[in-house]
Amino acid sequence: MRRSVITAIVYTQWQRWLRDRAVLSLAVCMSVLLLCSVWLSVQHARSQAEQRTVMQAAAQADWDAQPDRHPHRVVHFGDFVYKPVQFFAGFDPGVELYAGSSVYLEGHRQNSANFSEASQSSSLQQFGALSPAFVLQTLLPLLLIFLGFSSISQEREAGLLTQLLASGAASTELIVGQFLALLSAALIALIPLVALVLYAWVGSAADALRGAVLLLGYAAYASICAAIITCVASQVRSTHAALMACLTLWVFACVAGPRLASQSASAAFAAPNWVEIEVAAETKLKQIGDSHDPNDPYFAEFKRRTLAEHGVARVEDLPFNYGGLLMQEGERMTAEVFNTLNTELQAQFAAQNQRVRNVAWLNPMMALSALSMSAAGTDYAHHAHFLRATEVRRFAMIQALNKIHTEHTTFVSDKDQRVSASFWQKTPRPAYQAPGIGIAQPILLQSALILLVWLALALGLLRWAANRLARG
Amino acid sequence: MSAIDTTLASTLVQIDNLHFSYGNQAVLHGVNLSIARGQIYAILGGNGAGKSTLLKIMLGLLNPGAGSVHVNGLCVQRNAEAIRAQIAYVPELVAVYPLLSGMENLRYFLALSGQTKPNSASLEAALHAVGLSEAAWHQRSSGYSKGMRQKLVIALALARKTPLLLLDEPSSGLDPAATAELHRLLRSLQQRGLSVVMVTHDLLAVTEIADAFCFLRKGQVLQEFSHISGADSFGQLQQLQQLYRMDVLA
Amino acid sequence: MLLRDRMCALALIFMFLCSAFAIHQGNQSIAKLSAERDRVSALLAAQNSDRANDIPEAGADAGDLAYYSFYAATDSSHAWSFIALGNRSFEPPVQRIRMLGLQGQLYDGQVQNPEISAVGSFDFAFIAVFLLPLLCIVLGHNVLSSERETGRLALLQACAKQLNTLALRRACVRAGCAFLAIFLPLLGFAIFKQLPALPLLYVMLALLAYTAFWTFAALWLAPAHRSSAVNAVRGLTLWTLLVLVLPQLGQMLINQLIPVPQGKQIALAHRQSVASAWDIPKHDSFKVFFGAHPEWQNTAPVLVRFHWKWYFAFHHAADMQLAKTVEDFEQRVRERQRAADALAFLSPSIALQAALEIIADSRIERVLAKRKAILEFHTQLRRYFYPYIFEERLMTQVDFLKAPKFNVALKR
Repeated sequence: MRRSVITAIVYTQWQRWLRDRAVLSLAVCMSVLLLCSVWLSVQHARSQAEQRTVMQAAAQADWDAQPDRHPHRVVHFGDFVYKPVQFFAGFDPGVELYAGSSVYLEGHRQNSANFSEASQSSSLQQFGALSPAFVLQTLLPLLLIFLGFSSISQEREAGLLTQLLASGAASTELIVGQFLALLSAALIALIPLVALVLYAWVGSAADALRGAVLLLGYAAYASICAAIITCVASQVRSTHAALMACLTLWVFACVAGPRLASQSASAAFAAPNWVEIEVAAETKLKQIGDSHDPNDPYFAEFKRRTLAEHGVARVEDLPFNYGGLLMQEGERMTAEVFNTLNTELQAQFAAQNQRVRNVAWLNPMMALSALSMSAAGTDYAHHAHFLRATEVRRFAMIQALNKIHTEHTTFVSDKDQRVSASFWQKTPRPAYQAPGIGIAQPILLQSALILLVWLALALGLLRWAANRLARG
Repeated sequence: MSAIDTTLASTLVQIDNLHFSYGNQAVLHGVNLSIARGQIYAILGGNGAGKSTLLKIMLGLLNPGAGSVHVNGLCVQRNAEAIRAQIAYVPELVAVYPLLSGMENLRYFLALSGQTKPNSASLEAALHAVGLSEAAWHQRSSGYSKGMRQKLVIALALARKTPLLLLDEPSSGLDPAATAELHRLLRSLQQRGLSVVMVTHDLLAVTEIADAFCFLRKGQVLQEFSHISGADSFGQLQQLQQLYRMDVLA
Repeated sequence: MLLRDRMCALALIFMFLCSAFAIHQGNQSIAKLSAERDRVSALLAAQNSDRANDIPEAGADAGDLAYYSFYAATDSSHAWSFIALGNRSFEPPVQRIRMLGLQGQLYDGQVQNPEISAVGSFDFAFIAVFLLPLLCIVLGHNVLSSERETGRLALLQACAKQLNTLALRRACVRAGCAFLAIFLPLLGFAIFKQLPALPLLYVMLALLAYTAFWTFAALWLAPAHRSSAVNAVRGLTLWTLLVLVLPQLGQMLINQLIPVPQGKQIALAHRQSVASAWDIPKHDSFKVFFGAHPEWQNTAPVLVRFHWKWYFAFHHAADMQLAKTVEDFEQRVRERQRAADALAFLSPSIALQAALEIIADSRIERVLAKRKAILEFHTQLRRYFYPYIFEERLMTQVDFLKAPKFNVALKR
């Protein structure tokens, strides 16, 4: 392969695109769309972030404004946590529209994350959101098809191909030149992403890492698309057949495939209803021990042990409030049961998602989609981390309050007592720290592997196409 | 083989016992030809005689089943790319990129052959030599006639300085004036030292400008003629017409 | 003629299979949701009958019973819901409701796998809205240009008096084939399952209109003098704009221009209201409550630290104080839907999606109606328990079992 020949092919292809009015108008449409989607998406992410910051501040104000009250009232008062918005949520919103964004933390139970944007949306949500990620995953391949379906197939149709080969261009050079021309067009579409990554780089190293993974993923995907399109266009007899073949692939990969995979994955792993989880938790807890039932064997034993430990005969004689201790023990058990059930639920969702990602071996678009969400920090793994972290926070907070209950109130006339509001400020309520990209490492590795295998396949296909073209 | 060595100086194209088939359909079986340097050589034959296939094999675009083709002493099968560097090819449906101007097309095709920075003077000289009007050089070639496209591709041959020019049905679709102009051009190319091999139906053209020609039928050389002189051209024309008639009847 | 074209025949068969499969998938999804609904309803009913069995002969404290008894509030679906799953894929098919403040429980249980929901569902509406136009374009983009490319156009022009009539007739045949490919599986399914006929008629009309639009759009964008490939690109560009870009752009704009912060505010405000009741004089909560329920004004006053009367009163007072925010919230959500419906004038794909979702009853209106029905049920439940609580009567097993049930048939 001669570099000068390939440069000439890429240069001339661009010259022809820039003189083609249809191509130009498509490119302008695409650029406007891409910029629109970036702007809208970033705006939306920002306003969501703002909304949640305001709500978090309001929740904080409510917390601080609590008067002196009984610690158990604070357990029921509870706390709200709002999920912070990731930097790249403006690029790929992932599950953001569909996952609940706030959790109410209270004693005795675990709540679901509620108030997703989708639950308060119009029927348009079935169409999805015009995020930059969607534009690059779905519309960019379509644009590449429009740009590339006629490369070589048109030359073949016009009889130019023989002339090109007779002029001394090697078939490999022709194919590689066309591929690089298409790839260069695709890479131009990644400029907004590059800008976002640079912007992130200024902000934080963690976001820069996410951005780098995103860039590599999208570049690999663009290369796969460009290679497959070049390959089809070079092998099929006519431009029309090339267009139809590329479009069929596109519809399967980008339009119907993901929906089909998701639907079958959710059918394969049935997840329980939230009510079933709550009922199961309550039933289980009742079986283990009911702290409200004076004859309950578990709590009778617990009482005996506690009394024996402190060498007293009555709970009133304990150096602390036995009621508070009961609450601590009850909360420990509740959390354990709920954690088991929630882990099962999350495992079921994770299994569904894993099934979808396994199907991605057949469809690089789905691999990129998974990689993109994970790298952007908007996939289910990140959301599940939020749910788990809020539970950790809930448990620590409730137990701290129960400890205040145990140590600063007395068993006698327990409920009539109040504790100074200054205690609430000391209750541990660490702000949620979004995890690093490492939380989604297995997903990223698998998706990256799929993309790499597809890239190798696509480049191999190019080689095969070049050989076939050379044989005439 | 030794014959080739001794005649290397005067023989440009040497074809020995060439066989080719598309799948089960045999197109060429046992073609033997020897084309001398500096000639205008015509290959005649009816439809499906295998003329264009022969050209494509000479260009190394098709691989023969058996036999060999040597151009300038090099075996085509083994040195396809080196051979292509020595041959310029003008197909019947001569095509150029319509969105590019004549000059841009010329530069692009030159770049494909490896000449990335040709000087403008040599390009202009080539375009002048083929008689493409200067006004058309920088216009988009979507408006070019077949004759103009042909001239452009022949200009490419000049710019590439190839010793051999292959033309497939050059006069089809050209009016008599354009055909006459083409013939004048081919003559002038010959004077510049180029060898020309053309595939054609045009008997008149053959007798007018070809130094030698052969008649191909069903993948075999039926007859070879050489050194057409003005005197017996009429007789040869009659003989050719006879051959064509036989071809149609067969 | 059409079937001789292998590409067209394959596309038609593919559409037929897609349609049949999507109907099957949609039906499965609805069946799964109903099963979930029945399962949970039975679970809660069993819990309540266990609780009833524990009630002693003399009766039990109605406050205790009201506090611990959950009732199933089910989402509705009907025979045609399978054609468009809409928001069913993330609305809980069943929730549990008790007599506490409604706003604290109404939005609970939005537990779906968001990665699955985000992709969108593979239902009949998807096939119709997304793939049917593609089929129309594939069939319609070369009605004339293929004739020119094969060199028959001149011949046709010489034979046919009106080339346009010929093109039109041919396009109609192709549109008819496309329509049948998607509609026949639905017709078969409707006959097999003996579904109500009127929705089928609506679906048929909507599909016919949509097919006609796309066939003529494809035809209009595909003049004979351009190449088939260019004509296909033109058709596809229109498809991309109307089916992908415009609805998504609309969705983004609507979400941006009509924000709905009220949802999150409801949860926070409800918590604040319920929790602060413990710190303010009981009289204040009662004052709000008696505003809506003056009939209990003259019952015995609460003088102890805790009484169910006061507890249920302040829970309802919290709901009353939130009424305005809730109304705002629902208003905003309706506004979003109205804005989306206005966009249907710009894109037939939005119109078809809306039409199918209306037929399937899979839109936000159903959710709002369900919430209204839950509110009504909650009111009935309160009114049923109040006499026992405020008159401090014990509740017998029979009384408890006679408590109102959530009515699945929603009022609009």
